[in-house]
Amino acid sequence: MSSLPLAWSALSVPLALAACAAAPRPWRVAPLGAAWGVVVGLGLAATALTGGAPAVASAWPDLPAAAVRIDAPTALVSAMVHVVGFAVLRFSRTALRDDPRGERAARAVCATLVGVSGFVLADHLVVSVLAWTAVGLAVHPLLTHADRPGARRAAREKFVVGRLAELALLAGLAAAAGLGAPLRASALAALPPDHPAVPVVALAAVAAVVLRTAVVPFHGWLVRVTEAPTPVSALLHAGVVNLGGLLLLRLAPAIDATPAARWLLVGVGVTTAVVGGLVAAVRPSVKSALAWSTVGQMGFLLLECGLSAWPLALLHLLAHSCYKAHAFLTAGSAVDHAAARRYAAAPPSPGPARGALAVAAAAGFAALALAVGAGAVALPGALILLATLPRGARTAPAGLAVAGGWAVAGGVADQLLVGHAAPDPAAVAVAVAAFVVGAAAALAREAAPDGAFARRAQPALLAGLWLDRPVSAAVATLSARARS
Amino acid sequence: MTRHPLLPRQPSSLAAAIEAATSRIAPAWPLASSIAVDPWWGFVGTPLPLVGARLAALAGLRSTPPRAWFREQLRRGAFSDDDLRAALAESGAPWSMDAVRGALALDPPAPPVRATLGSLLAARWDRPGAPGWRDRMVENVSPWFAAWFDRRPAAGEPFGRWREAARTDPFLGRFPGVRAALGALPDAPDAAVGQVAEQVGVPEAQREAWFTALLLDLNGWAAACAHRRFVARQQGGDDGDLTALLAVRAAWELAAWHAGGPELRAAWPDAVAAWPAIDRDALASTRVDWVLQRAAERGYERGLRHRLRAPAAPAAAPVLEVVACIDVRSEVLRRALEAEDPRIRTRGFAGFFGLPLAYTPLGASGAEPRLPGPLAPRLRAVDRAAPGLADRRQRRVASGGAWRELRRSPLGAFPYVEAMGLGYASRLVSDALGWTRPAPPPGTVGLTAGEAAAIRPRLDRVAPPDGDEPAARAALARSVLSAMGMTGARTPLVVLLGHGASTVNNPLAAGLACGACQGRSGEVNARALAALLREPAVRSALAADGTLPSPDTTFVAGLHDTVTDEVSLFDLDELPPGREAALRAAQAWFAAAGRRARAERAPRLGLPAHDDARLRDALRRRSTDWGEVRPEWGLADNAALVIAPRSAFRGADLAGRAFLHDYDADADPDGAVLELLLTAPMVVAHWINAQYHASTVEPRRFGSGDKVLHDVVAGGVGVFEGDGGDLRIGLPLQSVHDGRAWRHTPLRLLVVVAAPAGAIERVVRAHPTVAALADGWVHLRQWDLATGRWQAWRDGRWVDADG
Repeated sequence: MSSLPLAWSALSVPLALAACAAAPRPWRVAPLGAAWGVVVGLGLAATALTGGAPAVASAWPDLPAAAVRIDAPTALVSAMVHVVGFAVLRFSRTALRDDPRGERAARAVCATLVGVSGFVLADHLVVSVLAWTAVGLAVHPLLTHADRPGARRAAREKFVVGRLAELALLAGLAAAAGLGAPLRASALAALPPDHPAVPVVALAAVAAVVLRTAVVPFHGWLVRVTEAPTPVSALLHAGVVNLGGLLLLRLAPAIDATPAARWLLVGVGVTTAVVGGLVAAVRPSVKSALAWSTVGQMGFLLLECGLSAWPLALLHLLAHSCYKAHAFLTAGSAVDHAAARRYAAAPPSPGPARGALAVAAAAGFAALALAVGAGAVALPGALILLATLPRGARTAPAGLAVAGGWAVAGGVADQLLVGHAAPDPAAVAVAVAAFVVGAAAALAREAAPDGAFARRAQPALLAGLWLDRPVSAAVATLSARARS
Repeated sequence: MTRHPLLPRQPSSLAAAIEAATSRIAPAWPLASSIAVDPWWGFVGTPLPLVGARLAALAGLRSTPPRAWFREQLRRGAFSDDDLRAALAESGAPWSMDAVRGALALDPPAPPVRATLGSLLAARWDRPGAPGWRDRMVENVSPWFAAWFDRRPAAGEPFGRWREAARTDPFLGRFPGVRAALGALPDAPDAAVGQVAEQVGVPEAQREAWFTALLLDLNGWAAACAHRRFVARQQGGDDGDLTALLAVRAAWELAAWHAGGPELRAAWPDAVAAWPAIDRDALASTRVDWVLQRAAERGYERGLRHRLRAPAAPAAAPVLEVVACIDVRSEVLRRALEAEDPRIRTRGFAGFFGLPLAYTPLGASGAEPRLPGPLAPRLRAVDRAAPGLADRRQRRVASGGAWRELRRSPLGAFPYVEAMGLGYASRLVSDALGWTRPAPPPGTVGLTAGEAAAIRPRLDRVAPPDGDEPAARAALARSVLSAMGMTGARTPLVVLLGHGASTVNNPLAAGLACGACQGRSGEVNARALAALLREPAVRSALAADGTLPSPDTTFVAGLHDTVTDEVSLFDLDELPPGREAALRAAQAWFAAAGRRARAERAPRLGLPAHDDARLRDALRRRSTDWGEVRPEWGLADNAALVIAPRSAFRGADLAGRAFLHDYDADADPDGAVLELLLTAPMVVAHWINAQYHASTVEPRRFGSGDKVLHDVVAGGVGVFEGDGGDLRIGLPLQSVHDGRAWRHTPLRLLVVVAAPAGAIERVVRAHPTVAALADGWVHLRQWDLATGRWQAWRDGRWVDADG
């Protein structure tokens, strides 16, 4: 099949949503626009998987910036974003029916989806950056939809950090261009690993993604954006904050070739994953716990990128979005869920013996896996053991099912992305060690919820270890200066 | 630092001040069993205008609508200049009409509020665009109490634990001396409260008021703690969370005292000295608002009196009797039913049908109350089901729980999401399209549709272990029927019609359910009572003593879905043979009445009324749409309680604004039923009315805010609006406001009682609570059915209602 129609069918999605954004009654048509995005995304994915299409198609042969990616990962991410968009739009259409600013929100959601499509589809990195900026600007009025001081502060923080991310990436791209590198992601990925522009691009991308993906210590805005309506949280947590992962996927060869970039991702990622997981488990309200869980999951995504586990990173990008969008949109069912717990005995907290067993088993398993050169299974295995062993037979079936599901899903994802590097055993060891320490802390707290350790840890965890404070304070100071 | 000269204090005076202040806080029920509560109930006994002034002075809270709202009501003719004149005369205020009209034209600034150390410091310390001192206080205290409610340790006391945590709080650590001062407080919360009061020099006479102001500053958590205490005291115990909360808030005052430095400490005595003047100002500036409020209420009263005239005559021989809840939404359906056929009679009765139940659903670990909030359960109901189903249900729920446990464990979420996350794509689509429900309804979780349909809630044993069960059941049936005024019923069918609202993904669903069944539907009570009244032994006992003379009379339980106005009937296979025709007729009437009621409600919901099929589909969608924030208007715009025989006003269009309780004074010569009605349903109706009122006039503190921002706290103790803040209580904005205008008209409940004036007066004088309510918290009217005259209870006596 010629690539021109494919490119334009991909571009029909943002064009349709742009039309929805401008439509006189956006609620009517917007869910249809998003549904069209799902159809096109799945169609392009099928075309790509059956080998019927190139990875990149040109929408305008004379214009390199108009190159459109139509490979399977792109198509699947695009389909996923529009599934989320569809659900968010249907939900909001009802929830904001009588809100005087409802229509404005509908247009903003459509505009955000246009920006996301642009980011996802663009092959030219400058176009990607511009689209990324557009996403940030389009989502801004949604963050401040409820006119509240907390919402404005969170939005301002996101604005500052987001623009810094884009500046970092643009600076990196400028430097890379100066070193003679092409600015199309597909061409960049094909550069020889020793090209001088490779580490520049890799580090700039990692810096931008670290800033933009709400990892510690840049996570403050994300956990405070529950100040915005529930469907906005769903869109943000499922279709916006994780886009950086796709950028890293595109630049995987450059990152694989740049140890500093990988180690940065591993360090930031595993720290964020452990902190986010621990804090999410103590937050006493549903949406706040979900927001902290996203922070942890974004850390996990970056960790997987740093470990060159690119297929898993792609899987994470897709799976977490669907899960988290659903979790946010159904957050109102928390009372129903709590009522259901009257029919099942409350789970006992894991005792210290089981906790110690889990920690030892996980560490042992990871060490063994690394020793025999099966580094790829070390981390998944350790995580499954840490999560299920302390809870014994009760969660064992679910744990086994998760392990199986993970293996299958990971295997499928493996088929989508070929030619990735093996993980660095040292990095795997660091990650496993961090998770083991984190799990030990969590288990120590659970085993003695009234003990000295838990009593010290609880208030700190409740406050997210105050890790968001420096960035929040800096942004507040900056904006106070800007005002005066 | 200036110290007030303190008299030697009795140790009990501090305890008394704390008890008085904490008693001002009305309890807020958890979401799953949430019922309407008058948030000012702690002040009952004080005239309402004084309460309003107190709330304004202590915490800057409004208790009447803004002047602009009154202007709009006057302009629209909801009340007249004459109403204003009469209200002014009634108030006894020495103002001219021009002065009142002048006040109505003005939008006065909010009256000043008593300073706390926190607010005094905030005025100096807060910077625009940054979280202020109060924000810092709330973001410290609120999540902490949320976590305390979420995972309450086996032992321990919240104030001590909070203080332990505060020692590591970096914000408090920024101010020298604060941590040391907190550390020096006594461990006991009440002693700590006393020490702070003494240290910062709050005069003894002002302590109760100061404590109240501090609690009102964290009104949401105070109300949640007050509920714990209410339940504990109901069971003969006590609970210290509320005092601990006061101690935490007082500790923040101490923190402000130290953080503010000498400047703040120098300004504080003047601020304290200004409190009495602020109280006076508040009273002066809110007094005219109550005149306006009364004028608006007079306008409604005139209209209601007009509507209650000239009843339609029912047919002599009824063919169907329907007993429905007193809820204002029943009024619409009852009127619709009666309009279908003059042979249909309807009757209003509290929707728990006189059964104060503790109901244990099949397989549940505990019982849930199904009765009005202030009462304690006295009877048990259980589910009758196939053997083994309870175990199956528990197993199914437990296996779902294991997944949840894995997902919620700190590290389990990572593998879970990657393994299972993609599966949520289909859930996203099917939930978005309304094909699936985001969570199984709590009533049928762990059951298939068939299993759920086969479950029958029934009264458990009624008699004490060694008692005569058949006699006790018959006696219970007799007493309920006589309270309902249903002795002597002769129609082939009597439908006991409970109500509930089917909604999904709605943490505040209980607010739309039956208030008399503690935020659940009336289904269990109606089914249990109908089944009791079908039991052969009960029936023969009731036939023998003439309570139910006709053996043909059969009781059927029904449920009115107040979102869709559809009625379902239960346990029809248990009816004796020969009822098919009567049943079919009843079902047809309910269907027709539902159409009529939907058409009447449609305009208020912004839906077209002309095509019932589309209207019904639209309403069904509202009851299944996961994004729905206003499935229905609930009890919005409620304004009156009519305690009278239905025949006296059958056919009157009360627009779904009145609670209706049937009452026949002739059948109640000793006034016992009347006493029950004024002490129970009137209080419940007032609580509902006051909750709507407060959520409308002070939505920030007595309402729970915008539903799209809600975040369920601690498994359902309440909600946050957005990212934290105080716990929010009361009704959401969507229940009282349509996005453009208020849809609840905040009027005090008008209670119209068709009973002899002397009988009503006896109840008022015998019950201090009723007397307090009748003293202007509600408007009590005596309706003489023979003459049509109304008398008003005012200042402890009856006066002509027109005077």
